[in-house]
Amino acid sequence: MTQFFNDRHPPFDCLSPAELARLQASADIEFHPAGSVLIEPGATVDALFVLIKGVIDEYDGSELVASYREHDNLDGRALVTGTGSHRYRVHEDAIVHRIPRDAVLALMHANPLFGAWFYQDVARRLAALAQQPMQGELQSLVTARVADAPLRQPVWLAADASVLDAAQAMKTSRSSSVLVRDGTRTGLFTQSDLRDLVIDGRDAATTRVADVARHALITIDADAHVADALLSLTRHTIQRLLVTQDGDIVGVLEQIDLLAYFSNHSYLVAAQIERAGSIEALAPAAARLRTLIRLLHAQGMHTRLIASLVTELNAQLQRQLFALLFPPESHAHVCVLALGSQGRGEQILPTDQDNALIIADDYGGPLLEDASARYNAALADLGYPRCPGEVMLCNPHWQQRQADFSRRLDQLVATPDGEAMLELAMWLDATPVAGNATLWPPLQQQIGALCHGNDALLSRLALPIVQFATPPLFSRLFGKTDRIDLKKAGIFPVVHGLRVLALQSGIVATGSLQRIDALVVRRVLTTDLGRDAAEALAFLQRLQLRLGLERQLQHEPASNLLTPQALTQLERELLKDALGVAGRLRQLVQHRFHLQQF
Amino acid sequence: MLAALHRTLQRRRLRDPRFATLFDPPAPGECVSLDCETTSLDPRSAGLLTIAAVPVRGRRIVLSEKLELTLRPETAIDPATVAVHRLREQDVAGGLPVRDALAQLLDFIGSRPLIGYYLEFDLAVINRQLKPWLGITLPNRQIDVSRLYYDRHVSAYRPDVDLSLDAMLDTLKLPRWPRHDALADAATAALIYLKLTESRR
Repeated sequence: MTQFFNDRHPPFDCLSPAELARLQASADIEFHPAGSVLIEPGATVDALFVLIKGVIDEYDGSELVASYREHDNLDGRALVTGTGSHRYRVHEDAIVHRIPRDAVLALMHANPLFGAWFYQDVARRLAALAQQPMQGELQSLVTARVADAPLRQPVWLAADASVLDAAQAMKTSRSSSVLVRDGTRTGLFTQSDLRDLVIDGRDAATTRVADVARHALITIDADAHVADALLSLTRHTIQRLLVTQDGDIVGVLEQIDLLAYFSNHSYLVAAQIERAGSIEALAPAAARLRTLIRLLHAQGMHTRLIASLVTELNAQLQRQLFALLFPPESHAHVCVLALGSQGRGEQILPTDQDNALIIADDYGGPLLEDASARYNAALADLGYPRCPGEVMLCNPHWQQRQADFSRRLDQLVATPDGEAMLELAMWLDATPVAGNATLWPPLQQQIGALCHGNDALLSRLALPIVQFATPPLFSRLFGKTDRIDLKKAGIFPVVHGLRVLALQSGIVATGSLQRIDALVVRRVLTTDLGRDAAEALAFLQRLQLRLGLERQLQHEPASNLLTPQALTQLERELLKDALGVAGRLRQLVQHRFHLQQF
Repeated sequence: MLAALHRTLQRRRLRDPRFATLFDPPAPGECVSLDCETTSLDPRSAGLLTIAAVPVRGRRIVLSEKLELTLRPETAIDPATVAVHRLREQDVAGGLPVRDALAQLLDFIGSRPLIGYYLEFDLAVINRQLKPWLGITLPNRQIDVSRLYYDRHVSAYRPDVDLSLDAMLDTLKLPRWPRHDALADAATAALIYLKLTESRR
């Protein structure tokens, strides 16, 4: 059969050959000369178009919002509603596949992954699609092999064994499955098969296990990556894989063991930190933490979960470092604060250490200069680069008595220049990580009280969101050489927007997600925007993490500059969605803080 | 005038009234793009191996309504052509007898104008079969995209026009599909036709 359709591009790459054949059979090809309009706002949309050649521009009113080329498809969202919302005008003679709406809808129904592409709502789209393993990660990042994972010994039964024998064998060997050799065939019989057999009312004593065992076995090579094993389990929705070496079954990999293996990695790091009696002993734990990040990322764990796990381990590491370096007499009288992304619990790869030290007003113990200097130096050695802006507790500016910090906060609010606002933003995300945590809340409450109702101050604080406003989308996404600064274009507007909105509403939470939740409860954000913002942020952070891991492999410093051409079309689409959400949040902030004049 | 006379004559010669629809007035705005793979390149002796016909309606190449036929050739396949169309004796052994296939083709195309690249060759091979059987040749209007292309691109300053398919696809900036596959070639011819007739120059 002639293949007109290129199935290597999303969303068609997730279709089975049969689904693809059905799609192909219903598809036509159309030619649309430059200047013609493919979809009009308000008109009925009865087909999905996939570009074979040419350029089609999308207009919202008179504004050009996107431009589509080879392999791109349009207009997925209008297809679902059945009515066009934007105008699609042919810029350069276009040849398109035309797939009837009914065929696409039927496939969306049959194939959820394919369907997710067309979801109306950004949050669902991002959540469903962003979790697909991104290209090329699995091969390069995961070092652990199936053979390294805890495998179980296979339990073999003879060909004439009964189901009752199988049940007894499972009990004595404490295994949830047995294997049966029947001539040249190998069968697998599991606890759930046993359950089904009982439900069917068959006699366990007389039924031969070889007759009811499954012979279509899903195996994995002992040399394969553990992440592949997890993928295979997920893909086939099964509980176990048979592990083979040179074609022979050498073990059984249970899903539960594999999951434990993944999480054990984090327990291991935690235990290592806990037991470290010296700074040197912390180094392997820090190294293992970095491996863990790669592993979890490659495995496809949600960025949010990785971030909370890593934040917890980072905090443990800093607590241990604090205990080792600061004089014991000081422990109850000082508090180490994590600032910035670490304070928000959103830092995965260490960028730079932002920290501060509050000293109780009545503290009269040993001087802390030396311990502080060693603290920052040790963190740097462990892979947390020194802060170029010197936001470190060894800097006297960031190590003060509680009363002095309190006066500083008053000053910041009294003279709200750019620098003061930058510092205030640092404080807004502060979270105690070591020492006496009660030293922080009075200062935090003071910030809240100072800012409450102070609209002029809040506007000053919100201003950078507008100043960082991004150029129109399409030029950045489709330009040949342009790179996107993920942080400036996406992460910052979301994070800072939430920060300022939270401050205005008297919310003390420091994490972006907690802020979103609280803002939704207070109806500052609609439920939709809240959900969209959470997923958009997670997606941007995932891209940032991947970029960071790639640069780490090449021994280059972290960077937030992303080349859109390096993304798949799927990722580009999601990035567009995510940046769109950032834009909506920016508009809200602009409106609430009356920033239109800037 | 002359064409009309010819049609009247042809119609009178038609031996099987079943195919009278070939002479109905064609529906406006519709054509059929046609391509055949044959046992050799000599129109006087070539047998038909595969035929693909795709309707062209407005700006749409209606692949979903395509007709694809495989025929059992009455002559041996010239080994030299096998490398081109990749159809061996065993690939077409299960094909239709020529008249069955042509009957399906005639029912399908009806009186719609035909589009093709060097259509003359394909029609010569088909007509060689039709004439002794039905007494007629295909009466449909013929649109050869190489001629259309020539008319658009020839000028006093450029009397030689490269009419090879590759050159045409390059100049017209059209995609390439697998060559020498009847369906792909029919779709390509249809695309050239649309580009030449629909594009705003």
